[in-house]
Amino acid sequence: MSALSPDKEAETSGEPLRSDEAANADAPALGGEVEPAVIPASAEVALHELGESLAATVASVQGEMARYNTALGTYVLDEIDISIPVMLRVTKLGQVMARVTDSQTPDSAVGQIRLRLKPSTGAAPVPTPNGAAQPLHTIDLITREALARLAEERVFSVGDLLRVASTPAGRDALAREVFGYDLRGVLERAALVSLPLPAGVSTLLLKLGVTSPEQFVKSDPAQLSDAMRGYADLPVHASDISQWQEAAAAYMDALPLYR
Amino acid sequence: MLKQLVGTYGLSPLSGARAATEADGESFGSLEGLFAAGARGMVEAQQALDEHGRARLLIWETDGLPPTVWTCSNCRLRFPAAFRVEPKADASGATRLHVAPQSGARGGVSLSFRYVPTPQEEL
Repeated sequence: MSALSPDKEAETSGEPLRSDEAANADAPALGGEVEPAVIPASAEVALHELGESLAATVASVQGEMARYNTALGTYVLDEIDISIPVMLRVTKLGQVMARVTDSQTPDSAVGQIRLRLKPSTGAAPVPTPNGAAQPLHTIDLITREALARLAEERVFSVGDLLRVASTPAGRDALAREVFGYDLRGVLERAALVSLPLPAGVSTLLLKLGVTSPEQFVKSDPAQLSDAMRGYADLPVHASDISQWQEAAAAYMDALPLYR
Repeated sequence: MLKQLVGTYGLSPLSGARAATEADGESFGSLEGLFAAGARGMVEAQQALDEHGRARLLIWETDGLPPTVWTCSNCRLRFPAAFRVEPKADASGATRLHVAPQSGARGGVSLSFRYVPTPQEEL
């Protein structure tokens, strides 16, 4: 991860690719000409996406190993270590983008990402709320143009947006480059959607006029449960709301808006 | 495991030039699929060794040879590789890494497994 090139320098080859362009981007440089030192062999993705891909790989490996579970013993994944040559750049939103390359020639623009995973014994798994994986249009306030612009920047989900907005510089860049206005309302809704609530609850809260985590945790549980039952005929009780509010309040400490 | 990997991913040793051509062509497979195939191959290899061990136990009385049961205690798969990325197109998608064995590649993958005996077996 040593080679970071500024956004402008990489613009000619580093424009985000639409999904329908990916096939062309993957096409090898053919024709018998002298190969350039750096061949952009792959589409550009946000750096964290490589980690997510590796996490999915670990899950599939563990699924296969679970097939051998005898009284005598079992197999465990000891280590996964992958080393990927990449060209990196930082976007105007502050995201680190990585383009995998096949270049075999040493080049200052090509860095190396090494991802090494080892099991840690005794670590308690931390559940990740699935609300963060919700698509951005769940928030409602974002225009189609802004959604398209965010997709170009590989910001697809509520979690992606909150990740970019986790720093003041990121929030400024989002307001300047994408939204053109103060995005606090958008981020509050994003934070609400990302709370660890049962599936569909955050969307229902938005429909009931609850638009931020703060508003949710301060709401009266009895009133809110009545409203939810009335709107969606859900068997929600005040005690459920109180429980969700406690979980949400604990989770809010981790949200950049409330730090 | 080797047979399965070779069959699925064409992991025969290649010359540098041929490997580069192969990597540009059709030999890319998903990293997830490759590693899953590695794990599956090892599990099947161990199951075959277990079966062999059970057979040895059965014929021990007739041939008089002490039975031996083998275990793959450690297994490591490591090779230089080229990568491709298949980017996700929306929030519900998943970005996937694709990999192809390539001699002389700057990148590489390594995967290792370990056999953990149950406590009573250790005694």
